[in-house]
Amino acid sequence: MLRGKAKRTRQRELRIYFATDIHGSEVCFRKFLAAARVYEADVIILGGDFAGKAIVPVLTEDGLLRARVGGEDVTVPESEWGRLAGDIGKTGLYPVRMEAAELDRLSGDEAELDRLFRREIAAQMQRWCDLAAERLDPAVRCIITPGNDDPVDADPVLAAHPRVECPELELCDLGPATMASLGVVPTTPWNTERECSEDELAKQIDEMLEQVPSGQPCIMNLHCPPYASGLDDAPELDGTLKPVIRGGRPSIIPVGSRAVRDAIKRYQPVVGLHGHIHESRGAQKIGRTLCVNPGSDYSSGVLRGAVIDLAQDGSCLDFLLTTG
Amino acid sequence: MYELIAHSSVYGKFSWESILTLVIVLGAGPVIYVIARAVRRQRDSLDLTMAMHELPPE
Repeated sequence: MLRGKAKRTRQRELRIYFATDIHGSEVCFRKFLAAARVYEADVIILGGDFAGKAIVPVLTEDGLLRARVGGEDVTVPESEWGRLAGDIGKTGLYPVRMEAAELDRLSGDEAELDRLFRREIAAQMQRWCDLAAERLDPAVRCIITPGNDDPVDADPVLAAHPRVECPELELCDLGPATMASLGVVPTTPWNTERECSEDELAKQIDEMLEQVPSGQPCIMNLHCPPYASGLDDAPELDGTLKPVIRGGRPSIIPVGSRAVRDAIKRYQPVVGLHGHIHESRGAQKIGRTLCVNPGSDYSSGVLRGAVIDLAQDGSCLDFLLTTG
Repeated sequence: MYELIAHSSVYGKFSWESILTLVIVLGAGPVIYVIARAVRRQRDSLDLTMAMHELPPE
């Protein structure tokens, strides 16, 4: 009863909308921008893994475009490039027009293919930042931080764009609370762009959090969820990256970070914003900290997110997991 | 329902008290829902209907 009375007297000072792991999905990013208006958010945060997963070659031949979309061969006239590119982009893939000879050359040149992929990711981020500038209310802050799947090639785009903030490995003043962001995760079987050992991760988190002024409420925007928190359950994989089956079912194990868990226990931020494990959507308390992983369903064009209200003293008033 | 009414030797007889009890039990659900919704709206800052609100991509 006392708690209820205390809640009523505190007013909302800041509303945060947090989403993560959209993996290049054009639809999800547009929904992310719309979330600011629909949920009346003051700050929208995209917490990492914004990059898509693959390039789709679209072959040009005799005025026709040929591509493999969703497991099916599609042939359309060149005039329908926009629609075809849109359909491919919806699922987080990058359509690239090329001739058959160029595709043959790229198939044998991994380094060039990698450069092309990175260019596409950086170009998409530039388009997204421009779209944010066009669509967002000037009063809304837009924060985009990278995750382990995001190549460093997108960092200069984020750093240079005036409408978007990218406080990776930095503290960011949100008013009632200070936010610390880090997209690096402990080593994964996928050998992704931003990985390190648990010890190194703990060191990076500590170095950042030591700068938070004493007594200042803090939000941890750490891409990797804390270990064994219920926000990090994923299928166990064998040496060939196939799911391990035990008792006729896929074995599910915690794959989060012990360094993140230790940091949350030690520093007790107000909120922990996490992602990385798409299938482990939820919210959990670790001590006084509310840890949230909104999960991800980007391939269906569904944006999963979390709305979090903070009071003037930086405490968490309320939160809601959303599906939009 | 027919069985309930037709076989009073098995399911028991209806009385004004039993009918009133049924009405109270069935009617309590919507009343509790409306009160709980009003209390939550007053106490919390977030509207639960936002949880499944579809976001427009355009």
